[in-house]
Amino acid sequence: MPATTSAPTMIKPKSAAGTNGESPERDTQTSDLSGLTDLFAPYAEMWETGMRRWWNLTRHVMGIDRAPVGQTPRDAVWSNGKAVLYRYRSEGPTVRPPLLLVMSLVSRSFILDLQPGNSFIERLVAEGFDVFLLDWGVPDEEEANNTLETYCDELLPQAVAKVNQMGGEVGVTVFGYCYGGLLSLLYAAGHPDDPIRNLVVMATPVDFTKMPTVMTGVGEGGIDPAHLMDHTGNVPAEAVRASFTLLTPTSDLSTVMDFWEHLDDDKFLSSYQAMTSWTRNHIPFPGATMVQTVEMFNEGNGFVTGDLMLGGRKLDLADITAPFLNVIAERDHIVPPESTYGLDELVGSEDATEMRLPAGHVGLIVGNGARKRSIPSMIGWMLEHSDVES
Amino acid sequence: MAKQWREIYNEWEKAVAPGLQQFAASDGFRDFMAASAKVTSALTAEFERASRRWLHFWNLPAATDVRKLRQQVAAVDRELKGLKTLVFDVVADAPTGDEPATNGSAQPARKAAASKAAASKTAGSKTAGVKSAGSKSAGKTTAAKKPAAKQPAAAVEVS
Repeated sequence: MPATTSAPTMIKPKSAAGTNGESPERDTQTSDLSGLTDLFAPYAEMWETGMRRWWNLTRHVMGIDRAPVGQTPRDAVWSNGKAVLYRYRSEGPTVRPPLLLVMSLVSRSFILDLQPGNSFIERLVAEGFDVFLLDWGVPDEEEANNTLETYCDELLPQAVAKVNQMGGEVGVTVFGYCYGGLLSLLYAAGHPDDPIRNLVVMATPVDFTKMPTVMTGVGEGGIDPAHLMDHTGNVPAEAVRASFTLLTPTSDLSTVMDFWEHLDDDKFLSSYQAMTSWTRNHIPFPGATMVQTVEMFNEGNGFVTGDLMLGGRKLDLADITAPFLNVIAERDHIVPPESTYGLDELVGSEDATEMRLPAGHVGLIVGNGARKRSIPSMIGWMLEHSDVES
Repeated sequence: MAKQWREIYNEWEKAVAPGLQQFAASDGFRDFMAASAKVTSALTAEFERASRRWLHFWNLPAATDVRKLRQQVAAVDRELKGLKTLVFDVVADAPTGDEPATNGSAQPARKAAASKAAASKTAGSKTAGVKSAGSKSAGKTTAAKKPAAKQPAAAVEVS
């Protein structure tokens, strides 16, 4: 029998050969082919890996089967202009007051609900919180004249009122992330009579003299904010992204290297796509807010000097009296920890806590470290400061 | 073998990244960026001016005309929102026939609800058990809260 026709017998165990009346010649042939199989096994594995890499590369480049983000079910419950308030569905929240997440102005809010199993919001909902998210939307000409007053004196008070009303009028836990924390601080200081039950700020810049030069290089003696704005009157998303890239100039290249190294890993590709869809997809910064931020913080360092003006009135962080938590990421390269220390001393809350966590700016809410350490710590504090139904 | 290229890259990055970061954070680079932004802005403006003149010569609208229109529409929209809010405030503050005038204090129901919210607050909440630097002493009752902000007409409820 020619060797080619006996190929299927190659998968039989060696011990089986010759026991069913086959000729000794055939035994010899099988043994030889087995050797060949062993010889080609590594190549077969390489072929398989190569094919998987090729397929993953193709589907990544072609945009096939992209990793979905922001999957936790939610409903839009209120909107004003482009700002939308979402409420996440849950089987009857057991924690009161409701929690309002306030996002930064320059990044997409889905980072808080990245992927199932890797989502801050999913975890909060599972813990029984009644979670609301205030998404500012993507600004264009209409929002170019939005100022800090627009966000802190109009939109945030309206959103908090809505959340308070929907949550049973028991107050609201306001949770601001990054620039959203800055907005939350200004809002809370400017509206001490609003129903803020707890205030949490995470990775929020306070002392702007300790912020990276790339972030504070706009303003007096540096880049003129007007030169950064595009035809819409906003700072374009590309400029926002470039400023983040400049903080770690090799990070983009390293990301590509990671991608190439783990291209055959489907799970990695899914996480990679989710993360890069966030890191490479920023939001334009409303022009008037940019100018105001530069004047009040880059040049005036308002939180530290106390020179805070909003809507023509002077603000004082000491007017914030609700229980307060400042979450600091100790490996944060965007908002360095030294620029956030001491906020608990500036607010007027008797119950003020500074929580330092060994994570990066995004690592506070995304990834294994967040799942095991950061998120449980933050949830723990919020549960202690909430009413939990058994 | 597969990881060898990665190790080489990692070594290269370790050597190069700190220098690049330092450069990007330097005053010199900031000045360069400032000058670059200024030049780019000036060139863009000059190009727009030239192309607008050319298009207007042929009686054609330029992108800047469309932009100006969009900005005007946005301004009108903002104005409208402001007026809506104003009207809502006036209507909300006006005393109705059903209730006695309360000297400008609108929405007594909301006030009552907010007072209830303030009352339900826990007094003297504890500090968290996590690493806490400079936690202030617990035990202070939080201030009573006034009613929630009014809902201006500009806000839209989505079902």
